[in-house]
Amino acid sequence: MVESSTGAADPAAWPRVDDGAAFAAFYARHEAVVYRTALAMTRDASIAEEVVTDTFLRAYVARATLDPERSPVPWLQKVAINLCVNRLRRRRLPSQPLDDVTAHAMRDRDPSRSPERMSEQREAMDALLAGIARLKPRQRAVVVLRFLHDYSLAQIAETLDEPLGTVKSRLHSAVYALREDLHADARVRDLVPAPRVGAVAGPDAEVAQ
Amino acid sequence: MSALFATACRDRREAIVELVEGRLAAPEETDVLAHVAACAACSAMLADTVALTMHLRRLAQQDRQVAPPAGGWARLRARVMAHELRHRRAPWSVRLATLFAQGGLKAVVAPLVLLVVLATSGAGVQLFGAARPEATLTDGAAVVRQARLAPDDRPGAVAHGAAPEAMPGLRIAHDPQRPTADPAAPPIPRF
Repeated sequence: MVESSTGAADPAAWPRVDDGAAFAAFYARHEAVVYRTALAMTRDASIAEEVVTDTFLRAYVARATLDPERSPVPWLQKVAINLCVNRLRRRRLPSQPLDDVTAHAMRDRDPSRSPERMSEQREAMDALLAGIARLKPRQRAVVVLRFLHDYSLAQIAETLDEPLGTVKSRLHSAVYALREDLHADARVRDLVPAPRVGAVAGPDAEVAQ
Repeated sequence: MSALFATACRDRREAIVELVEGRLAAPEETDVLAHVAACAACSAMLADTVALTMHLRRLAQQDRQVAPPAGGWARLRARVMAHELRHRRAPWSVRLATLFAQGGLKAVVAPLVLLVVLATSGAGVQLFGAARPEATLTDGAAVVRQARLAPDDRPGAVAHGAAPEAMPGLRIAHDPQRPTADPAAPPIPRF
């Protein structure tokens, strides 16, 4: 869990409007969490960099109007996600198999794993990333906040400014869509239990029964 | 009957991710587990969700190792400066519109009216001509006084924003550091 990503640790972290050094420190403190969100949303490092810059520029412009008593993290996350959603909608970003950074992280984290096991995991991650890339942008946002930042449903609802029921439904439909994708992907079929015989096909399939 | 069944499954399935991650309250957890035990479809969904959340957690763990590239602050700083230049040095049309919007109509209209009156009456020629020390002033004290009032003699330094009734002929020096477009805007911090 990322310390600053829940927004609970730093309730009064907005910099004073006339303090450039404080704004620089504010950027240094929150840059990583915004970058990871943008990267997880877009899977494109250059777009993620742009989103980070745009997000903090908006924070700079809005700094005098924001409530200094509230944590800036949900605000930053919301702006970053909205910028990512706009970019994803504007042009269909390609679903990249697995970026080099993530692949290096995998190798570095577990050097003792056999090449076969690593290959299997890489394929599973490829399939998962491809599935995430096919999610609708808002579904993707819920998945990113939930699994990358460990947000509760209530925190996601607050960050995205959406009703709790909508967030719950989006998380379920995203998980369902990913499940279908993984079942359809021959590379990782063995890594996910196959649907049982007689299992219904979709979240609303019972209606058809 | 099937509709009731469908609603029961749908409601429980929406809670399955929460169940897998141990985030459900005890009564709801008991309810969902009881339903899953009796429903093959929801049971399959639970098994899949367990596997899927495991993969998602692994992916998230890798994503957390990624650090942002260097140079982010330099890029942001450049954008902030560009923003300030663009928005604080707005064209006259925008500055006037801002003044009108903020009720500063008098500050804009009054000097214009005064200029028109002075220009048409001929008094303006005398007044503004007299402001040039080399033109008519020979008294040293008067030259110093005028220099204090108008240290910058550029053509663009003619009064704006001052109350002409209170200080006729006063020329406000133009300060390039002073924001002009939006008086309510926050100050520009020094980075």
